[in-house]
Amino acid sequence: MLKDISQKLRSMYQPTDLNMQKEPRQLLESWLNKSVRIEVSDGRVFFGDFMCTDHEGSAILANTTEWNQGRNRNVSMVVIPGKHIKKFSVHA
Amino acid sequence: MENYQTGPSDIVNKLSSQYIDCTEEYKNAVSTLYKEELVQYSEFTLLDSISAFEIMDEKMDSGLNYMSKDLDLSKDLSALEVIATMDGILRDECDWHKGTPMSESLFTNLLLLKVCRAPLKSLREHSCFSDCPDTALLNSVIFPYIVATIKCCDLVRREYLSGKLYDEEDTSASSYQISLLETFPAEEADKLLVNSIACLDGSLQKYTEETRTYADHIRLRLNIRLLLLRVYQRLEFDIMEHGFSDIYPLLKELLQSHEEYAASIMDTVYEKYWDFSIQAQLPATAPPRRIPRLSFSEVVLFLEEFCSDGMLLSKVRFIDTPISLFHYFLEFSKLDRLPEAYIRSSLQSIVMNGDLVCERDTPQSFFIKLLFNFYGNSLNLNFLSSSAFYSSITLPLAQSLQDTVLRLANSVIDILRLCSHNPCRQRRNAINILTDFDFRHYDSLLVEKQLSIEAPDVASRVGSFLSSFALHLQLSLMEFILVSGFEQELFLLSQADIYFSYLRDLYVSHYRLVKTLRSTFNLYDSASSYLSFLEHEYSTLISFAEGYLKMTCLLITINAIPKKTLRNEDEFQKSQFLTHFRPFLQLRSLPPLSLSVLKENSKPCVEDVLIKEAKEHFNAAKKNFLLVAKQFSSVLKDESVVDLYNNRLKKHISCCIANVLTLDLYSQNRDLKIIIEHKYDPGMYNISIKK
Repeated sequence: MLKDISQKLRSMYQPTDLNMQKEPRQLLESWLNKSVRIEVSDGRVFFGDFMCTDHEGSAILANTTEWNQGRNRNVSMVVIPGKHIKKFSVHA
Repeated sequence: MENYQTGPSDIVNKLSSQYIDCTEEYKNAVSTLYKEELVQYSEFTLLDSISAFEIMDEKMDSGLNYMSKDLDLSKDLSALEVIATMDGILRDECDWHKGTPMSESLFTNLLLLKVCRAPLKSLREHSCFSDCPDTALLNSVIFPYIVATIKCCDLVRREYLSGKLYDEEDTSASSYQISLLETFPAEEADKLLVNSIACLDGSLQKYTEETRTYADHIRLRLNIRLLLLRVYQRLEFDIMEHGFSDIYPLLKELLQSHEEYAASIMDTVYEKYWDFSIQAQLPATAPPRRIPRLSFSEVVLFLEEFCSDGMLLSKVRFIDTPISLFHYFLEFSKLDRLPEAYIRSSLQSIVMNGDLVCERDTPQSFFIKLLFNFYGNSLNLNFLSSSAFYSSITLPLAQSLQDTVLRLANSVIDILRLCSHNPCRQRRNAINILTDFDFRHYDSLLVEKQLSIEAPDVASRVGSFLSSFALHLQLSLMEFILVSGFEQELFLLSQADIYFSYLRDLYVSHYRLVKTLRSTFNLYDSASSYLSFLEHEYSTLISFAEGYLKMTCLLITINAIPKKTLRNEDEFQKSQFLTHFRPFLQLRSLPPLSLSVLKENSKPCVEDVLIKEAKEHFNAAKKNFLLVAKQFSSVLKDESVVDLYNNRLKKHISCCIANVLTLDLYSQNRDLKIIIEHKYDPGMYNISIKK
């Protein structure tokens, strides 16, 4: 009986599909307007404020600085296609 | 200040250590999103991303596949390389003037970019190229040349940023947050060049054999750069004038020198000292658009035109009277070739320098002198500057009179200012200030009415002197707006009959005004010869416009100008009429303008009659233009103004001759095909027979 009750309780509090979806979205939302570091496939690194993303993982960054071969420059707002994102890091 | 840092990649590593790698979580999270679902910051909209660069897209990402070029400055340049580098930098500068952004012109030269990025301390210590000894050409020639070039560009850029010239100009003023040595004094750049030239003159023996061979060519370029720097500094008119007239004869020599020595090694120096993908190092720039560059002969032509325009500008200080100055500014706005933006900006800064108009008079005294010149000495206008007169009338009238004079003076200054703008802006600004003249005319009428009550003696002598002058200026402005609209091809040729009909009517109104003034004030003696000249000029312009009206009607009749037939032709005509004549529709000082009246005036007639009348008018105009030119030079003795005016009249005369000849040929053989061209006057068409 106890086993039945605990199984019942577990099924009541089992995360639904909808909940599972909310968590990843909430994670992404928690990173919005935070400073992120994105390394792209050709080795360049972009530091910027994370503004937007989509299902393909393309990221829009604002106030972005590009680092390339030891040099940096302001590139303002950039769109980085998801397929070219090698590494995605968030400011601690 | 530039947002640029060089340094080893451990700076990136150091920055990166503050970040936590979330790649897996990120990829997992985005994979759960629906198609077209976005996760976006609340204050961000997709509209904000319109200007975003897409990374890894070759059309937008200038950093893609970029490999920076390293400069080897441990070895000096050869003398030939120095000559070629100086020519390349001059070419970049001219490209910039012509509209190529700095990212694709000036900053592509790595030596110049290095100097721009150098700290002020190393500039002052001349240690930008410290790997080479002081005596190296890199330090003794290239460095001063580059510093002076950057200062020249800084001085021009300041003109653009000061707002005197508008965004319609072609030049892109952005310097990508890179310093153009704004705080480095131009005098120091001047000194650097002078020392460099002195070294080449005096201590040639310390240079190599090769340098001694090419010293003259190097010195030529340094001299041109020094003169250009002094011209751009605009310290004094004398210096500017000498600068322009001294540079001009050197330019042919420069072209020869380039073709003989530098042209063959340009590719080598471009390979060594230029980086045409430098955008990858500059903030927020797209990849280069590969704008066609000027050839060196085009560079020389550009400089020749710059010097010619500059020499024309420097004549302004020799112009005596306000009426001559007024004509000078008007003619300046009607030149065949649009003068360089810096020249026009300099002209604009002359209009009001401090509180003085053209460095001479206050606006009111300039205006009063202009009135004197207009009416001649026989109309006594001394009361306008007499404090005794102002004391003798009531305070409100004194105030109104002074205010009206001041407002008219400011309106005249507005006309002078717009003469330096580019044609599109000029026309728009002329339309903007047109209604001001309408108000000024009305204000003047009120003041004159009050004057006739309070000071009838004065009023009986001077009558409508102010309102008539306001009307004269207003009509001149309207003629300008109409003619410039035609020059800028805002009128279709099929509408030219309506255009010439109204232009003719404007000239008739103006002629009647001037004639009335002469008879009202009894201004028939030689002192009023300016009005006499105006009367002749406008009667000639009436013949000219009438000739064109008849000729245009003929061309429409014989289908040389195709008349568009559209459904709702009337609606189309009405909308075109409103578009072109809207600025003139609500003016209270003139009779109302209507499309039906204009169409009535330009009704087509029998071919023979049109040919005969057109020829008569053109012949009369041609004959009278010659007399008008002669009269102008006797009234306004300033040579430079007379030359400009005569050059313009020559074009009108050429058009008259060409039109008469063609009409003659056509009247003898109606099978000949008439074509329309702009051979003599860019703003006015002429006809000829198709071969």
